[in-house]
Amino acid sequence: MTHATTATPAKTPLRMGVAIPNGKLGMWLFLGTEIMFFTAFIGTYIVVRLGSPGWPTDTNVTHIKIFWGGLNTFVLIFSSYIVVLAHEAMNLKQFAKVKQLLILVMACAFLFLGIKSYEYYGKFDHDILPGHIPESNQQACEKLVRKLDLATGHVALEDRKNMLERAIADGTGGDAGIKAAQAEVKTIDAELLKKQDIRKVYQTFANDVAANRSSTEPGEAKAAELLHHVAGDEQKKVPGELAAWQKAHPELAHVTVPHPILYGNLFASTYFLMTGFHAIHVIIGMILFMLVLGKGSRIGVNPDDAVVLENAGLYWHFVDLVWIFLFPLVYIL
Amino acid sequence: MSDEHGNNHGNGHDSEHEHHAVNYTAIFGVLCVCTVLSICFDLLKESMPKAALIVLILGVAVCKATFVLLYFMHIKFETAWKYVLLAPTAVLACALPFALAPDIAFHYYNVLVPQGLIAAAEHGADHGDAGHASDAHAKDEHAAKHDDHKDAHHEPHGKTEKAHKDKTPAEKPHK
Repeated sequence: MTHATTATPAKTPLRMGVAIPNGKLGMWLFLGTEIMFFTAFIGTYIVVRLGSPGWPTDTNVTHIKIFWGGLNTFVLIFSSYIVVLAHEAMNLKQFAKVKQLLILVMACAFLFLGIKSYEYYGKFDHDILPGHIPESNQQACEKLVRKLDLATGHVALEDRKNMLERAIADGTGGDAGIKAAQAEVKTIDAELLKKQDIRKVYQTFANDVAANRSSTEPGEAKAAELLHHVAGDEQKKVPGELAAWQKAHPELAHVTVPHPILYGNLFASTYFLMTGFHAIHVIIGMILFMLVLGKGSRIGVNPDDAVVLENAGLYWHFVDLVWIFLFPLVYIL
Repeated sequence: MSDEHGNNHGNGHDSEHEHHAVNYTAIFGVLCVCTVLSICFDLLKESMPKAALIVLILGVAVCKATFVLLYFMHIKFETAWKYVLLAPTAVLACALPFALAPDIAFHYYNVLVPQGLIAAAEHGADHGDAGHASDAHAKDEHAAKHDDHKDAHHEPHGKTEKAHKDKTPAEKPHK
């Protein structure tokens, strides 16, 4: 026993675990789950896109802004560069420099989110939203009828009337409540009667669209014809019926003709899913940097600050890494 | 105990990094050049085959990701633990796309979804061959080769589609 101990002396003391700080190991394990999280989204996007012939790629249709996406890529790469400089400065105990660099990183993060908000505004403005996009001419016709109904105020009044009628049937609010509801229903009926004049102008179109709903392929051709009739032809300067309706009733002035986008809803869903979760990660990264930056002049007093900054930096680089793949996949290809 | 343990490791790690000074500015420059290259490829996408474009653009993205991982995230200077942690992650990350791909992306059978029918009808109309659109086998074959032909035949609003505006007025871009 004694012989064995003296024959094999230990060169280095044994240590448990891997040779990195626990916090850093935890961050890497977390990043492992994050890799799987985003790979699930990106991988599914690629698979879904490969299985969808006709996926929308024209930026005039998707309102994808490649320039702004490219600028955001640069902003994130620049912020990653600044983060490594801040980490270096922390190791060199240049704490004032760390603070300045982290402020710059925060500015980059705000800029990124600002540009992203501008892009999202474009999507909302053009109604490029999941479940809002017509994918066939028939769906475009039905959406147009819905938009016209909304513009007249018809839908809101009908909804209110239905709600009041349910309340009357349930006896909500007692006798007084029922009387008030009945009075309001009468007012709404009078309003609806006035709205009928506006609805009359597109009633034939609405009826044709409803009649066309039942058939499939011939219905689609008919829907294209209906849509053409309403929209007119911009190139040939031929105004459609909508222009006449808008002239007669200014309430319809903001109504535009929707255009079908094949797989538009799937595109919008995947776009918002991936870029939305990425934006959430940017915000979380900002919070992590705030943990260090919030210490103000006390940055570096606690030796753990260096580990916190390193972990926040790792997270930030990961966020950058995800965007490096999102940019070509969503914006360019 | 664990904190002490961690800090000891942390100090050792920092000294390890001092031995591997990295020119971060050069890495940043490379990443910027790669980003500019991606945008240049986008500008050239009309004049090159779709497959080549995909390879080039994703190749540039992989290069950028590698630089960020190796130098900004210091993976290059980490010990073997990185393989233990990242290899299973990579395998599991690929599981979902590989599981979905045969059914959704590379299926051999005809999928009767409305969008597929519309795409097939447009394809047939563009070729002046209605029979082709109803031919399920031909449609499947077309779907498999879709990458090369998509822009030309299937997009309601595609750039190539703009030439056909007179045919289908509903296919004008928004606003």
